[in-house]
Amino acid sequence: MLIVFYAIEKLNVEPLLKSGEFALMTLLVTYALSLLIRNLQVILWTGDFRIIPTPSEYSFTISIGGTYAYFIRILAFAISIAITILLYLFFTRTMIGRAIRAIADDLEAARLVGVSPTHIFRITFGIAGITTAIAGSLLGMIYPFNPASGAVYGTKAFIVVVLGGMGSMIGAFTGGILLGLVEIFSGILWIGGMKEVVSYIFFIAILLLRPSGLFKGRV
Amino acid sequence: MKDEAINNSLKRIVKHNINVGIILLIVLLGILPLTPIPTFIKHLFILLFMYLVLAQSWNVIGGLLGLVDFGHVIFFGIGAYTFAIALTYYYIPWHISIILGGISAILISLIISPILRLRGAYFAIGMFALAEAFRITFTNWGWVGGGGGMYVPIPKFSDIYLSFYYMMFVLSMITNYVVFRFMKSKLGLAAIAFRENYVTAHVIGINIVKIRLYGFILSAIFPGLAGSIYAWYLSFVNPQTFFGEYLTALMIIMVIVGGRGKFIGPIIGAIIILILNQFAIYYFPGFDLIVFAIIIIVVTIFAPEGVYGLLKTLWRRH
Repeated sequence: MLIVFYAIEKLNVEPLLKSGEFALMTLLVTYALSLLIRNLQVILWTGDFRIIPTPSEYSFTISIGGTYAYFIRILAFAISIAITILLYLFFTRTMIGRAIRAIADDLEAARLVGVSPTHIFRITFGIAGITTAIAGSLLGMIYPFNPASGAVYGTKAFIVVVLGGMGSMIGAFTGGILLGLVEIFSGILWIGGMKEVVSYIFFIAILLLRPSGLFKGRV
Repeated sequence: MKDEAINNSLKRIVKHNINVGIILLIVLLGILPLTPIPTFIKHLFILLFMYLVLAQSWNVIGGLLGLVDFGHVIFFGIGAYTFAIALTYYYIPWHISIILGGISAILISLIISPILRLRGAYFAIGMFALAEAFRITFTNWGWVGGGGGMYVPIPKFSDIYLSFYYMMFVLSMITNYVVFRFMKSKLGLAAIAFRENYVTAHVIGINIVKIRLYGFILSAIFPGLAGSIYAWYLSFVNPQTFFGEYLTALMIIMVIVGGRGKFIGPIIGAIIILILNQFAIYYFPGFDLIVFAIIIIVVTIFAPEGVYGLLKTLWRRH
C-alpha cells in the first residue's frame, strides 16, 4: 500500500509542486485519479454492492449497559482509536512527524532548517494512504460498499478535518465523533436518506462561520 | 524595421479576417441544419452547443476567477428541474419555462453565494458537497419523482432536432458573446489581475467580492438555461444525470484541455472532448470516464495551459 501511494505521489503530485497553483492543481489531478481508479474498479469488479463477510466466530454481539453492539463494530472502534493514538505519538514524538508538521506550518522555514519537502510529502501521502486503506477495510466489514462509495467517505473525511481545524489531531478526532452524531440524529429525527445533506450543509455552515474549525490547530 | 511593418500589416489582415471568419462560421452553423444532414450530426451539434455553454460558464468561474468549482452542475440541474416542474405540473408555456430555469439558477447562485468567501480547496470541496447535497435531496424528493426521475411532456415540434438545434445554437452564441464581453470588460480584467496577484490587486483597490458575485451569477444563468433545454430534449430528468458529477467532470476537462481562463480555450476543449467522447463511447464503451481521467492528469501535468497554450508555443517557435 505504501509503495502504491509513494508512486502516486511521485508521479502525480511532485511535478505540480513546482507550479504556482499547487493546491488547485493537486486537487484536479487527485480528483482525476479518483475518477480513473473508480471506473477501473467498475470495469474489473463491476459496480455491485459488496460486503466483506464476517467470519462466523466473530459475528456475535456484546452487551454494554443494556444496549447490544456487534463485536466487529467494537473492534473497528478499537482499531481506529489505536491508530489515532499511534498517529498522535508519531506526530509529536518522532523526527519525521515533527518535520511533517513543520512543513505544514511554514514550508520555507522548514526547508531552511534542512527538511526535504519532497521526501516528507511522499511519506505523508503514504501514511494518509495506509490509514485510509485500513479504514476502508474496516468499513467494508460493517457497511456494503461499491466503487462509488469512496467519494462519500472522502468528502466526509474532509468535513471532519475542517470541523476540527486543519492540522489539529484532537480536532479531527472530536470532529469525527461530532459528525457521526449529527448524521445519526438527523437520520433518526428526519428522513434517513437526507442525513448526508444535513452533514454537508452543516459542513458548509461551519466553513463559513468558523473557517479555522472548532479547535484551532497548534504546532 | 521593414520586417516589423510587414508583420504588423499581416497581423491586421489576420485580425480583420478573423472577424469575417467568425461571422461566416456563425452563418454557416445557422444554415447547416437546413441542409439534408443526418439526424445524428444534428444531435452531435446540439451536444456541442450545450458543451460550449457549460464549458464557457465553467471558464468564467474556474478560469477567469480562479475558483476551481467541483459542483457547477448544480445550476444545470436546477434549471432542468425548474423547467420540468413548470411545464409538467403548472402547464406554463415552454419559452417562459426555459426562462424560469435560468431565473431559478440565478436565485440558487445568490442563495449559495456566501460560499464565494472560501478560498481554493475549501471552495472546491464546498461546491462538491453542495452538489452532492442537491443530488441527494432530489433523489429523496418524491414530488419530483425521486431517484427514478420524472418525465417531461414530449415537445410538439414538427422537426424536433431542428428546433433544438436552433435553441441550443442561439443559447451558445449568446453565452459566448456575453462571456467574451465580460472578459474584456473592466470587471473581467480586474478578475484576471486578482487571479494573477491578489496582493497588488487589493492594493490598487479591486473589489473582489463584487466581481466574484457577478462572475458567479453569470456562470450560473447559462447552465440553467441549457439545463432547461436539455431536460426537454431528453424529455426526462433524473438526479443522476442532472446533478451527477459526470457533467461537472466534463466541464472541468473541457476547460482544462482547451486552456484555462482564455476565451478560445473552452471552444477548442468542447470540440476535442465531444469528438473524443463519441469515439470512446463507440470503441470502448464504459471506459469513457477513464479516458477523461487520463486526459486530465496528462494535461494538468504536461500542458497546464491546455491545447491553446501548446498551439501558442508552437506558433511562436515558427
